Amino acid sequence: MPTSREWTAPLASTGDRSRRDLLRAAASASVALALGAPSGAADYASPAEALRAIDAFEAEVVARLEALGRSVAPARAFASSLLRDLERHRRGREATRRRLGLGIEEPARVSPAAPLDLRALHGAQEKLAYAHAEALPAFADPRDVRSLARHMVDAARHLAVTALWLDAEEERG
Amino acid sequence: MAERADALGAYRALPVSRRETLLRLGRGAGVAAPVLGLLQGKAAALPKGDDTDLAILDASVALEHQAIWVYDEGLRRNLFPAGLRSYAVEFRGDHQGHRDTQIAIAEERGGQPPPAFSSYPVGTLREGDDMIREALLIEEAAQSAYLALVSRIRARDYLLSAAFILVDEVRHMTVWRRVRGLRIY
Repeated sequence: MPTSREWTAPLASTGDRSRRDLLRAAASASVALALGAPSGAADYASPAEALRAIDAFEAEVVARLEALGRSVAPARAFASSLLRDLERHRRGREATRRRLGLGIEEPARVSPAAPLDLRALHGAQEKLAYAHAEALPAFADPRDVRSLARHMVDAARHLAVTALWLDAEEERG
Repeated sequence: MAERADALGAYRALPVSRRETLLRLGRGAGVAAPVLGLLQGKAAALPKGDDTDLAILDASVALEHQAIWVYDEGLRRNLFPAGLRSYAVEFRGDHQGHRDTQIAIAEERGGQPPPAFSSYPVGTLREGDDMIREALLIEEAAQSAYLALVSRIRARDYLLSAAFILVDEVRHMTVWRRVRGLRIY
């Protein structure tokens, strides 16, 4: 790991900016926010719908991390670590579903051979992190909100790590 | 004035662990006692409701003021290493956005968010490493605070906003952890 003296990476890149822009708008557009939810944010009608959306976004991230781990040996530890977190999140959502009396759903299906593409991984992680944020209002019980918020923190950390990696790649040209 | 002296005294008196650092920073920022109780894990102290939302907004604004001051201080004194200065500028801008958003939400609900102090207690800041350490402390505190408080927020728009802010705080924290050579995955 570099020390601060060695570190010269530019600003964190965020790849596809569309949902990043939504976050920026959410955090900065004071008046709009004060008057209501940021436009463009998903409004999940129920916990089941919110969890289903997270499942779908997570499935794409999982497929891309698996492809990365298979194809790039130095990235194996990174991919494995993130996949372990996501598996823990999946089990957590199952527990939430059980507690809320929701049926356990089949894992979302994605293309089995997601192409190796760091920027696409970043985009998928971004969707997953924001899906967690958008899901929180669908839950009435603070325990569920707390649990999903913890997952969101992991997802946001994964997103930030990939952004730093993208930056480093761009630095290298 | 006496309150401010109390806050400084409390800041200096506390030993340093992760939670205590959060409390120390919270006290230094002027976070009110009920919300500090929540940050200590006494969640039952604050039921969901408009009053709690306003208390959380006040606490969050206080922490954002503090974060902005820390970045201002580092930038003013040119303490961020050259390659990291742009991060500091970006993150300060994020915190200003978070502050303004939450002030607007609070005022919309009839609240009067706290003003910023003219200065905040920080550790020794002599060089870049000190500054990065302090920035990381602030970001870790912000992340811990939002994570602890988010489940107590009732209003949908504020909950959504706080969640998006939390995503930002995690990004800031991850960058500074990486810079300090700490584990990020």
